[in-house]
Amino acid sequence: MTDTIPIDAFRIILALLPIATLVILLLGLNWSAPEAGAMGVFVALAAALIGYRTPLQTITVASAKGVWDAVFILYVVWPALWLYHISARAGAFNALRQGIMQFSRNELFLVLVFGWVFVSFLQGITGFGTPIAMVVPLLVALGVRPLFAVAAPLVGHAWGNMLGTLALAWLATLQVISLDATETAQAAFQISLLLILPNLFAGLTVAWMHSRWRGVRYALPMILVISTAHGGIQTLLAANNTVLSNFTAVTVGFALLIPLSRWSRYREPLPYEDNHMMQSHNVDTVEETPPSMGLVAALLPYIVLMVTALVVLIPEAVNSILSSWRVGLPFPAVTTGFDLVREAENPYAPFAPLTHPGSFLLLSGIVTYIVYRGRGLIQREAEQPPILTDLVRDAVPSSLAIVFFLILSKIMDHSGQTLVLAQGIAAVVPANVYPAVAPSLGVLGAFMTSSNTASNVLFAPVQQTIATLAGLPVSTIIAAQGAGAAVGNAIAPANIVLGTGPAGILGEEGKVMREAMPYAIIGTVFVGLGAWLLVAFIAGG
Amino acid sequence: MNQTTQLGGALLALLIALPLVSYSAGGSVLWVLGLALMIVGAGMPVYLRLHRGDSCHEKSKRRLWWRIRH
Repeated sequence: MTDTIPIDAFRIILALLPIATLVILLLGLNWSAPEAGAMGVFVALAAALIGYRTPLQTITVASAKGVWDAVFILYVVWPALWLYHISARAGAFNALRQGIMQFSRNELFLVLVFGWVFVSFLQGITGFGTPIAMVVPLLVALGVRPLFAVAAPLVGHAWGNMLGTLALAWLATLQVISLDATETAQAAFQISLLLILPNLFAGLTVAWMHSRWRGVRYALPMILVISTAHGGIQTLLAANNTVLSNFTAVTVGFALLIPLSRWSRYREPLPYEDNHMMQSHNVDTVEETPPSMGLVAALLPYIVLMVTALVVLIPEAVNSILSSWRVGLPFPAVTTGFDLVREAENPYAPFAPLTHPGSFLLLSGIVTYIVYRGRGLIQREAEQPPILTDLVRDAVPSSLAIVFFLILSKIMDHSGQTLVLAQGIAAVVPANVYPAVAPSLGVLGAFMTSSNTASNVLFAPVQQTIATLAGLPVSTIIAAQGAGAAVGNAIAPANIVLGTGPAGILGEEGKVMREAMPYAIIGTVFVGLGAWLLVAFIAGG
Repeated sequence: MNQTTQLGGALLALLIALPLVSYSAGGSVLWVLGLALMIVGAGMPVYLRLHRGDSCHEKSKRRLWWRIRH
């Protein structure tokens, strides 16, 4: 932290401008994500020059780091979209829909299966936006309107961001703050406690999206069973086995779908037809074209993805060998006129290609392409463009948007705008109320970076300092930060563009954000209230 | 030139700028070139939007005002 940047209204307003620009352009004026992101970059740049004494070289280095951070996500976006186009061209989604309907013809159940339970399961192992890119086409294939096909998994997967991906975000957090063993266990336990309500609320929100209160009432038994498994198991394991706590919870949640699908309530079609979520037809009345393949063949990409991830990530020996090859770029030290220094890093944020989910997706794409092609399922019609053309058309706008959001985030970070925002919030909020506000910083970080990990790396040290100065339990404030960041992923623009491409609604990111916004707001309130209660009654604050 | 191609050009500019900035030594002009590419990359979508002429679409403006006033 630095004490040299004046925390005044002028600088706080300047720091708010880039985020306000994004929100107004996306939600108010319906700009597409790349357009809004690019304008946000220029606003952040102007704020850095006007109020933060940031040299152009610092801005350039920050921008380049943002591009590098984006490469991690682009390495998921491109293979995921390629896989999507291979599956779509081979008719896999139609086959999948028909295959799954053998188990249940209840569209609300199926929407919850994919938009909440399966997307959470994928988040447990893969992350980096993979769950969104993979589940959106499945929901579209089920007949869900594209807007909700993106909004539902955004909401459904958010809670899993903190301890999912084998607790990557948590491990990264521990790298930037100092907690003793007891505080570490306490913080992990409290993160799980704080995520119980956002998880339950995610299930309820997806049901609400489908058919409002009627859907909530109908889906309630299923939601209670699954959310008890998700929240209960994660909380039981978090303190002692944080890395596997989320993965175990989502696996049990996924397995519980089998008995649930045998219950006539969820096996048979819904007893009512009114809903907001589905296209004009529903899963039961859609005109069937014979499937081009069986259910197992249609599930091939997902099976290869999951098997690869489990084989590579779970055995520690394999994981450590494969993750030892890392790629990174060097960046020089930079500073600002307020002496905010960012040290030189060589390499900066290296990533391990062999254990990155992008490689799992790429492998899955290659295997799927070979198998489908070998079975004659991928045949180009005369007027159809090559798969590569479709891929570039969808991936380029999404990629640009992601790059801009991360450049914006890095310019704000390197110029000190992020720090001023955090310290400004801490300065105006009384200590006894701060636990309720702490998750908002996590949400803000996730909104800016579309990453639970990046939000924690950005704000966890600030949160720790604030907690120490205010005499608040550090473990609870860190837990509030992490849980808030998880919830914030539901409205992160770069996450949204991962879904709008496969859903065929590029440019409608603002509409999707509007659908997910109530979840993010109420979820943040839940986490804030939970953190305040933890401090007041459990942590002895 | 369609919009995907133009946006693709912007993306390419940003990706080329990355190593230029990363490997430029102190005092090198490479980072200035990197900065120029960054500005071109980020400027392209904004230019396209403004050039299209509907950056302040009447309907969007009315909707925004309605929200502010209610």
